[in-house]
Amino acid sequence: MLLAFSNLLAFWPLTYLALGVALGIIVGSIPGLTASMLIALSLPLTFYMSSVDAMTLLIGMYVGGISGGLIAATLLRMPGTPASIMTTFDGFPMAQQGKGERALALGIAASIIGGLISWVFLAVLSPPLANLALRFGPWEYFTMVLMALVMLASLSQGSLVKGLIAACLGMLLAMPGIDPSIGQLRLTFGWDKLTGGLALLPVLIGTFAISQILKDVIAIDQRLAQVQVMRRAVAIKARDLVTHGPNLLRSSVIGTWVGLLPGIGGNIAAMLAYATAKSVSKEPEKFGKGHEAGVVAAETANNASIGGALIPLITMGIPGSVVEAILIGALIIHNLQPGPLLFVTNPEIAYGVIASYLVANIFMALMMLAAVGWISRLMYLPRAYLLTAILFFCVIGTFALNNRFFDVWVMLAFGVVGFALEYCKVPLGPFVIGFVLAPIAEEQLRAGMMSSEGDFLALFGRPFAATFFVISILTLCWPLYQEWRQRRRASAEVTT
Amino acid sequence: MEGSRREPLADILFAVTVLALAGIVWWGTASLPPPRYEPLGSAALPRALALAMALLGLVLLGRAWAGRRLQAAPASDLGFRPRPWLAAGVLAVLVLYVASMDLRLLGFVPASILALVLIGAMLTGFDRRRLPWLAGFVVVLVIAVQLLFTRVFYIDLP
Repeated sequence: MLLAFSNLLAFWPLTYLALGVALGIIVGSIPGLTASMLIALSLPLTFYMSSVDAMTLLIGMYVGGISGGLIAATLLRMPGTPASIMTTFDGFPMAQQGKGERALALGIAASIIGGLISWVFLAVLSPPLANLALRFGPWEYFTMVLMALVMLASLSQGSLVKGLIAACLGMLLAMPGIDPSIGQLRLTFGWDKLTGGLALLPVLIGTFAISQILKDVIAIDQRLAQVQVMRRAVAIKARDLVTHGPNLLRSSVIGTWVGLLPGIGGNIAAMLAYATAKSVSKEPEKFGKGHEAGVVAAETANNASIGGALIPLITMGIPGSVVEAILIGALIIHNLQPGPLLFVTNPEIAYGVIASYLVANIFMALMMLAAVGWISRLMYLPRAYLLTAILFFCVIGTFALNNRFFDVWVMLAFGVVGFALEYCKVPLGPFVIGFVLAPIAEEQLRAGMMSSEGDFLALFGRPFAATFFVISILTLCWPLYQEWRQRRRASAEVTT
Repeated sequence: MEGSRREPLADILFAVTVLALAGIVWWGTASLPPPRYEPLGSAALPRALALAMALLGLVLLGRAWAGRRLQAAPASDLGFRPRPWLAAGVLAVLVLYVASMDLRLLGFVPASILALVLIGAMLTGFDRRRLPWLAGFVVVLVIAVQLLFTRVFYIDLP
């Protein structure tokens, strides 16, 4: 770990980290642009960096992107990122009451505290968890991927059926090409260009960047409210850290724990922390009307969820959310195998991610405190220029992957697919994570079946695999049980 | 499950697409040889996924069909006029832009400048006052990116 910190504290890694955090904050503060979009678009640029520098840049973007959402949520009532939805509830009323700077200062303080506490969990839990995961065999990996996908599908907003379809669809789209186990060509329908399968980057850029731009174009006439010009910098008071201490600690733990679970992003973490803060508060009626505790709970939890989500990512190679799926893509592009072996084969990457996360949080707080007034003005950048430039980078970045137009066509097609899925209220998270995890799931399932001579029930002989499998089934059945219970209660009310 | 009640038509179309896709995948795996050296083979997972998608598609179709007569929720006031045709136009220009380079009708610089100025103009509502600024921005952007990719990253552009 010390070596990772000493590597990070060199000129280029620090520059990349600062650049990543700054870009993340800017993109996070502009409504309509998201951290996933920024990270997916930046992947082609990382080809020319060392793996450590690339991961440093992307982690910086992730932390900055989630934190930057605070500004638009507070000043415009528009969450810059989905993770900032809960911040609008109390941040915007505070801004309306002339306490915008106070809300931002509290939000920044909460973000850094949440980030630091979840970093402690990340640093302490990751190495032993990776050691444990080293003992996992194919059945454990297969059931873990299954559990991640089922949880993601059932906990995504909207319908369980649509979440499951999205996961299956994503997995299915990863199938064309050469079967990695026996080299058999499949599902290419005689089309040579599909022999290598669909590359990850065009799928990610299409699904997240192009579909988002199409949505932004549809809403191009949306006018942003003009907010009061603010001071350039804000300050955190030590007294606030004491006053909000229990809330900060509780929301950090909630955020980290929620981040650990696959499929539940920063928005759910913020929602849970907000609801908990409200339920234990002596003044619950003040929540939603510009209460400081609301901003603190939401911002602490959404930042803490990043640290939590990085734990399964670096210890087991399982993405907890869309951004982590893109980070896994970045590792694969750099010929690194995500999972517990990362600590053995490339400890500089595994510990580098942990170290980068800590320093990124510190950079984020310093940048936001020093320049929040300037950053808030970026929210009014002309959309026509911004969207045109992003579209251009989508095309160039995708082409640069393999110098072939097939990838650009795939990106455009997935842009339309992503837009259509969102229009039909099908969650994109399970779709993309299904696409990323399908090769791992298939490889591990086939290896498990070979090792058990075709006996699927052999997985019940392995405690971890059996537990993951049972959790998957329960997660799948829980929404159905809830629906059945609601119907029963409703029919009982009708009869009485 | 609320979402499926609100948008029954979109759900019906989506479910039908899912069923069609499942059918295509099943047909696509029919020609794959049976497993020889291992229990599962190349076709097993795609077929299992196609089957799962077909079942889930049928469930979605059934729910959407049952909810199709329910009155649609009134459109909420967004506070702005949505512009779906503008998005379709931008997508069309993007397709023409990529096709013009793929078919080698235009080089990278002229194709990019033409396409981006057109997209920018569409997004500004063809505002003549903003057009020179937009064109200047696009020319600088395209040339800067071309220099970056060809001189710094050593990537050949189309």
